[in-house]
Amino acid sequence: MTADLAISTRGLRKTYRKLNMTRSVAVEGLDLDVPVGGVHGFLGPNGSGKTTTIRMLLGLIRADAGTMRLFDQEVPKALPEVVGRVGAIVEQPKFFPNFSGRRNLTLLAGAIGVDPKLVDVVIADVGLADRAKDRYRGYSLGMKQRLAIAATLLKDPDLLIFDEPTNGLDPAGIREIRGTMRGLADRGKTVLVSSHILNEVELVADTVSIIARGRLVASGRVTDLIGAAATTAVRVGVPDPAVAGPVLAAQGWSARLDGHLLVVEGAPDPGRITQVLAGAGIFVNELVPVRADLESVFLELTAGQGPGTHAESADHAPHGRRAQKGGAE
Amino acid sequence: MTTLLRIELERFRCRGVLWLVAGLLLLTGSGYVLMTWGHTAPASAAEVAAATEAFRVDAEGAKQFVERCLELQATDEGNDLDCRPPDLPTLSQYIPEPPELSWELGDAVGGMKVPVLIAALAMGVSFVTAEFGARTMGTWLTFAPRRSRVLASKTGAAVIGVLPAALAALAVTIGGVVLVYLVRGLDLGEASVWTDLLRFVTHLLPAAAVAAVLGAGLAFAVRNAAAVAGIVVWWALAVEVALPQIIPALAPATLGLNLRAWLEGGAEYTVQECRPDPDVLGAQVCEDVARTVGSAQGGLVLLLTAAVVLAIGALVFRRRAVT
Ligand SMILES: Nc1ncnc2c1ncn2[C@@H]1O[C@H](COP(=O)(O)OP(=O)(O)OP(=O)(O)O)[C@@H](O)[C@H]1O
Ligand SMILES: [Mg+2]
Repeated sequence: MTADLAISTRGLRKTYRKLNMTRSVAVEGLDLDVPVGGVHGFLGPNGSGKTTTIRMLLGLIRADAGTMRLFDQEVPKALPEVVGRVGAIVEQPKFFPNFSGRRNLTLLAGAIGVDPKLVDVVIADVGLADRAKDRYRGYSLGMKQRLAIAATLLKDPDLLIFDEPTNGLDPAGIREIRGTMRGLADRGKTVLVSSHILNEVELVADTVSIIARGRLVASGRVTDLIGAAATTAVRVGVPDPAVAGPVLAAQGWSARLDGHLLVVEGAPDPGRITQVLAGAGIFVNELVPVRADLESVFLELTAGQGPGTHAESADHAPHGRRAQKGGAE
Repeated sequence: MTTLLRIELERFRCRGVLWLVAGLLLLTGSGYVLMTWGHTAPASAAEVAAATEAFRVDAEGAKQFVERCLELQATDEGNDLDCRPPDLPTLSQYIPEPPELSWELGDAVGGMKVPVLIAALAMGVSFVTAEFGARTMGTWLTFAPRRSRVLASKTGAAVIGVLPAALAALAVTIGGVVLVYLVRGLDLGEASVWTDLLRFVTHLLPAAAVAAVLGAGLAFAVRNAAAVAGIVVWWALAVEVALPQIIPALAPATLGLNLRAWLEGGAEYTVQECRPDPDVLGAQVCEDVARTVGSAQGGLVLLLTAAVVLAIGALVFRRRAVT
């Protein structure tokens, strides 16, 4: 049963014609599942097919093959029925340059039969009230992005699709968007957010899907993905690393210098490290467990699959890694 | 659907370029009014003086002719001469008169034909390509995903928006010309002026609407104003001008002829008809034969052309990616 999925794609494929009349694959057999509720990060290197996937979901481009469902309704066929439940920002959404931000939203509100009074509410929500009557043309990048977010909020949608929503936003804006996404998720909405700022995603996302070259390489809860990649390394600060190194090595642990800190691997727990070093008359002044984060997981999974790297042939495509939903810590 | 149409009309109203085109159209109409003002100006003092002089010379010549004639008549060989003085024109006939209203109106409104249609086409094109050019169509489609409705509402708004502009321009032209005649205290002529005029205007306005549909259809098909302009120029040269010269029988396929037929209640074109010469074996005699395209046929061809182009636009719009 797929009723608890906000987005579900199976075998989704999209190719683009290239200049030499061959076709390049942008999305290749993507199976993406986004559960209802919560913030879902949609990650992948440049050119991995995130925007293409989102465009297909919204009916802006046609898929070559595969099926897509939004809230268990087949799209693009049922798009007119579900579109009111889906607010989306795709790359940099554009508005009429000569109209004010407010008029732009009023026109959109009309299309979906939303009370025009709501326009001022969403504009205030994204902190654009002061500039609402100015021409869109004169907006800064961040203001345009804020207006786009306001536009998606107009629908009071159940699913929000944000393709790089923090593009061009200042730190305060980024934090606000994070708050907005969190707030929406807490109200039971589903947010799909693609971003390259992995710390951001890690802070806000409950689940993520990582794609590379148009295929899913991992998906699941953020904690599970990070947990799977966790190491037991510890960063240790000592007055004289040259002395401490051999002491640790004698225990059968590996210790290498990283800056002025030693990175120790293989120790059963940090307490043992302090104990061993103290026994040798060396006193630890800093001890930090090396935490795996989303960035390291992402880089590990997508290594060599960015646009600047050499193409891999299809049969060497990475194997999908799917953390068990609700699995062990 | 009506919601979408209402929104599109609002957008139409707010587009500066469209107001610019409408303004240019009004300006053109005003130009014709100004020309009428010039044509109907009373003769200047210099003109009157010149006319008086010409009249005096002619009258003097006539008088001399009679005198010479009478002298000859007095002689033998001239006694059968008729020496009645020739009918002398009056002075007023030497002073230039303003043209009749019907003539001046026909000139002005006929002259507005092409500007009105081009403006309607341009407005239809610009209204649609603006959306693709500003790349707002993608945003719009995430709010109104039914592309056929988007196309229909946009085209409808273009038609509804173009008509007032065309009507205003024609009203300014006609009203202005008539006003000039009233101000000058000139004769307005016969009532038939108005029935002819009404016929022309009631045919021009639907033609403008069709031009707007044509423009919108082209714009949906190629999405770029420059590309549309290219297609229009190519069509004008290759089909409207060159084709009837190469194959005269295909003249009824040109929009120009059909437009003329629609607006003017029929249009003629000539084809060569040849048959074997009965006197010379193997030779042919040819003659030019005039054929006519009726008003209804012309209108129908225009309508069908716009419908086909719009259908192509719809097909492309439904299938092509919007980014
Ligand atoms: N209109 C297009 N024509 C041809 N190729 C395209 C087009 N749009 C995208 N592509 C190609 O499809 C692939 C996926 O692009 P897409 O924009 O989906 O990547 P992305 O994951 O959104 O990347 P980014 O992180 O840079 O936004 C890329 O190789 C890109 O070059
Ligand atoms: Mg992208």
